[in-house]
Amino acid sequence: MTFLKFDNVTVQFPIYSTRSMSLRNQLVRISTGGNIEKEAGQIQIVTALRNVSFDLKEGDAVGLIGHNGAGKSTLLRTMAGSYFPTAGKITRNGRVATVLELGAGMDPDLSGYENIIRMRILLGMSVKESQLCIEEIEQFTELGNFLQLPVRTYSSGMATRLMFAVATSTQPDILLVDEVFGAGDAAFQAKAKERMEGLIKSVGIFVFASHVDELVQQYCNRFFRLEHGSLSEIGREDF
Amino acid sequence: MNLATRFVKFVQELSSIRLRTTAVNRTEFDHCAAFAVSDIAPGVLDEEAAKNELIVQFSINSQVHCIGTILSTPERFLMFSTLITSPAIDDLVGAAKKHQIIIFMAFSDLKARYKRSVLGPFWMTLSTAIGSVGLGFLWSELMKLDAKTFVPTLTAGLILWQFISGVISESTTVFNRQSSLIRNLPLPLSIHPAQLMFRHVINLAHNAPVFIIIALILGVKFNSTIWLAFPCIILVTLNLFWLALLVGLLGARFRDLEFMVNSFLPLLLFASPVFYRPNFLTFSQNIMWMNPFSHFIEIVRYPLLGMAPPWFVVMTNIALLIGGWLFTLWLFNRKHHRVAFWV
Repeated sequence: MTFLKFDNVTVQFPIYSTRSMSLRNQLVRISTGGNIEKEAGQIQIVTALRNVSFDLKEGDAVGLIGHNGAGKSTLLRTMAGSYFPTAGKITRNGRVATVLELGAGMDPDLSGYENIIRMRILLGMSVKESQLCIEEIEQFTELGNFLQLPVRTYSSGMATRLMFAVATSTQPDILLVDEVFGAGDAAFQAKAKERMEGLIKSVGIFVFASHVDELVQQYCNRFFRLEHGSLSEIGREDF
Repeated sequence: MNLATRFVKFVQELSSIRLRTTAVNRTEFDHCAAFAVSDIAPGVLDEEAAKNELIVQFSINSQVHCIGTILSTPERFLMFSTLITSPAIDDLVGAAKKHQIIIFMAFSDLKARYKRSVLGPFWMTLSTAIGSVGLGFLWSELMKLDAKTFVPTLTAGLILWQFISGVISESTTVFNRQSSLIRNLPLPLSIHPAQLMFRHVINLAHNAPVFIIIALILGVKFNSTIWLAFPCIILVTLNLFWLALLVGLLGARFRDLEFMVNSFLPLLLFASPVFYRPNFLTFSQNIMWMNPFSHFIEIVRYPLLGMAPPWFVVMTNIALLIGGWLFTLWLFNRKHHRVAFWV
């Protein structure tokens, strides 16, 4: 049974200035009783999410909307478990996959094939499982013999194809996506969209952050609006 | 307050504690508190009985449950050690479960290095060999030492120093360099220092033949004590593991630690018994033993040169292992949640 429950979750970020990130400055501050290097002691706290509560069940496809800096990416990372809440409680059941920043763990010196296995192992697969989808990724990326070359020789479009193919090659229960449809040329975008749609249909819970209202309305059945870290659920007609 | 209560208080204070039990199918509880009954209801219960009564309160989905048990102190301690897990220990256990990732990543980094140059890490083996042979024979003549004993000493010292300093200098950026992984994939944090340790152990294995070949050429007589080197290396590796985790945490928070450590390491090289043995020094031998790195090097070098390490060196290593891990776990427990924001 897949579920994801947030109970009054608050996430606060410490923002360090370059001075407070220096151990030397901190030591000077402490040893002079705070008279010198006062600035080094100042740490700004930014509240990225404020008392967020919701309950997601199997079959929910959530669209996250909100302007830049409203907390969409932070919310996705907190859902994934990379960020920990300062207050509140998160209960999660199900395997999570994220399509946030593409290419986490890619090594430019290794070949395309080796990177496929490497990234898939990082996504939580065993060595055996990681080799299963290679043929399918070969076909999807259309990179052909390029897959035998080191990734550093790829153009950025080719690298994106590979990263997208790997990121979407998992079978998760909870899928978290941060606006990635706009990658590659027109032909690839169409293919990427098709692949994404297939994946969305197969997962239990789907959360999608986007600025494109049409996409959100097309794929999602629940809608969350984030404003300065506060979350409110809105209806389809409230856009 | 009796000792058991104080222990419970201490554990509670460590941080947000989660309670796990096999009886409820390893459910994760959202809240846990444990206290001796004598604390809650003084005077209500028979004092002696109350001392042995321990109440563990926990909640599942916000419903509060209590279990009261009469336990003897050792039983109670055992229960706590199995029930209570902290974020830091969870993280290490999680990393151990994902050992496949650690092994694969370390080997895949190694492979990438072999790709960049034909000899790969063997370049390091070669430079170690050239360095120790060159320095060894030059210095043994300059300082009028017997090359047959000095060169193997120096080779062992240099190889161990490369291992130790490599781990320390790389661990300052161990979390920063993996920032995209930490922010995007929910993996246990300690897999990064673990992977770093594994990589350096592989490097050590690349360098070790240099010592064996040089020692064989110079006719060093090996005896069975050389096998003692293996448990000693494991002990040093476990010691370096907590150091890597600790330095990694500090390096993630304080970005200038990287430069500080790298400028102090050459100084530490001369303050550690790499080119010499502590007993070569007449006056500052005791000062030398204040340096923990002396103990890390000597505990392995003694068996390599055919002698069992002195007892106090072994004890220092074990003490550092226990003390270091306790402190690192305490810090990791408190700052574990912050690392993703730091990198």
